[in-house]
Amino acid sequence: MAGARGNWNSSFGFVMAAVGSAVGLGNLVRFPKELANNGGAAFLFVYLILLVLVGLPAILGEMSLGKITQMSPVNAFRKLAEGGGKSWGYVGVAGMIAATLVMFYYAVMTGWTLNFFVGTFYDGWYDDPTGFHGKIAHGPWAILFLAIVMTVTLYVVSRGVSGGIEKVTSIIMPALFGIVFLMVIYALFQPGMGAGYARIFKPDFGALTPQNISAATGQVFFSMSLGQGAMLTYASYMEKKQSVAINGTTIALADTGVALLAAMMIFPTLAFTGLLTQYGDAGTFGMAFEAMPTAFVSMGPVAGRLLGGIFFLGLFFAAFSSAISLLEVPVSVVVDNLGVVRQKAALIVGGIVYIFAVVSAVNEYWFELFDLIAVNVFIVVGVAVTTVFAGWFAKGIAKELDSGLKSRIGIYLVWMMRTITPVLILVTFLFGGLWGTGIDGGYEFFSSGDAEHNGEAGFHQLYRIFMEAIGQWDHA
Amino acid sequence: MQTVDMVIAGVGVAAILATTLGLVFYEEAAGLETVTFQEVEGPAFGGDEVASSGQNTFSFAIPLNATMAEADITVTATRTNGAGAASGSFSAFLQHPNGNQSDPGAGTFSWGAASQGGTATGNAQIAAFRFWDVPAAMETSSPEDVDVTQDWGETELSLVIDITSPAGAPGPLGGVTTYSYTVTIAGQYTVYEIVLPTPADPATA
Repeated sequence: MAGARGNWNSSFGFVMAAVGSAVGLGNLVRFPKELANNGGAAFLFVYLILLVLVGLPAILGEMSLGKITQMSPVNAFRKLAEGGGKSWGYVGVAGMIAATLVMFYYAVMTGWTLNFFVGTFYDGWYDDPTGFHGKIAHGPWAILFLAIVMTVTLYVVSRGVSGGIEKVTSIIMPALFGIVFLMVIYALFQPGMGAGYARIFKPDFGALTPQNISAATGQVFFSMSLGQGAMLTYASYMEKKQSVAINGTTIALADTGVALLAAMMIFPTLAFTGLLTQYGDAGTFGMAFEAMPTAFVSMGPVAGRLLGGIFFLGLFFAAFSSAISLLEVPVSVVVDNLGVVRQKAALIVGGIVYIFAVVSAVNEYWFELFDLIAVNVFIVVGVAVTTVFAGWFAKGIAKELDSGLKSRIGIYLVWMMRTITPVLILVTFLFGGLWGTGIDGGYEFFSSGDAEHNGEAGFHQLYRIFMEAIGQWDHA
Repeated sequence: MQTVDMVIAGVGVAAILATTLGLVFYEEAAGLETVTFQEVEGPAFGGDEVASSGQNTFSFAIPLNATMAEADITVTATRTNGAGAASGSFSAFLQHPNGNQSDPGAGTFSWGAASQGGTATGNAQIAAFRFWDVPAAMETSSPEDVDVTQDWGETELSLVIDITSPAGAPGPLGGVTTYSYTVTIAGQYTVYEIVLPTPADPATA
């Protein structure tokens, strides 16, 4: 049965696919700006602790569910529940919905990265480094590149686990690593790059507010594609002889390593091009689609276009590999639960995703709304419940984690899944999601922050964006 | 045709329909109301003061893509050869190059009954209106109507002070009463700089 679903040809292929799922714009852009603006090395220190306490147990728990059952999320939860609790299947459904919701806007973002890469060869971003993104983010260009991205993603997924996903990610992920490494080396030898390193590595423990620590926790599990069923689904295609503990740890380390290298790529580049002050605290999109293009333009037409093209190709590879894993989750559920052949399942799911993604491509509020629902409702809850399930209710997790290892660590990891990990996720949920900071800086439930929405609580934000999406929000 | 093939066909048709609708109606669906405002405080108008006898309208350029939110405007009126009580008024407003104007702030100045001349001052503030309250020129009473395709950075608004001199009898000596005015824009002004829509960062990436 497992063979009919497909398997990875090698551990390398699996790790590349899983790292491809984990490594996205969150690693290449979001992590660097979080690192630089939340305490530098102090943030990194907290991040690494949280990686061990939250990220690692969560990813190993999720992978174990897939590896043991060799099933897609819905069936995996049903099968592993002690006493056969069928209702656990809804957790798998929630994960599938999360992946699908994320895909509704992530596919559009992937289209942007491709458009920026293509824009290297004509007067796209080079001609208008700060305005190009605004021109292509929503509208006909967004739809065109969304269609291209969805077609290619759908094709890769329809080709199957080893024939499609593994084959593609085994090429583009090493290429991505090479691109990032090349740009790190280039920046390293440019005069004036030191301020960039200082920005990301100079420790400022005073910057570690509860919200920043919450941001670090969120970064850990958003970065590792947790709570969306992706890791579970990919692990369900592992061979029995492959170790969850070794591969999961490799994925977590690679994910963090790429994020760190990305920080050493972006901030020194901003520093040696003299843009650190202007763009150092830019958001994810501002950093990727305004600051970096401006930096490349300042390098001149040859070096600028060359490095810019390489950078945006890397961004596309990162986003594309994540999009593949997100689409694979619902496709695997349709294949496993409805008995539809993979090619047809990919067409149906890909088509539905495309329809909703078109809405994101033309209307930024829906884009934001899909993101908020996925994060505030599905992903955070999904990570917590999956970890609790793996720790308390699933059979055989500790044994699976010990397989392929000489030492017995499974019992300790399961203990973490039962205690520390869900508590930390809950704290993140409360302080990072439900609560915002009021105007006086205190935490407030349903806080709407100030007029510009700073510190807006998750639920209030969700409400506002929904009202904006349906045109009922009073901006006055 | 099997059920699953019919589903694929249906999804395909819906996808084509969604694409068509998206391409045709994207402007209507694009959520153009996401103009935001960044509060910027600037210095006073560089000490700009204008004094001119016989001039009743003053105009100051505001080289910002912005709507003034707060500005204190003081008009100092000087009367010569006057007689008795009199009062004048002025209004201050932003003006778009095409002539459209914002809602004004208003002030008055007056002389007492025994006054023969001298100065009188009046103060007005333009306060706390936002972009969509300003000029129809910017085509709008609500932010969703803002034309985001326009480069607001190139729009030079003007702050106009329009003074109405007191009407009344000639001075006691039978001479002509004259008025002159000095306009001062004091202290800080606050503007809301227009920030064109940029997509919000997603929490996941």
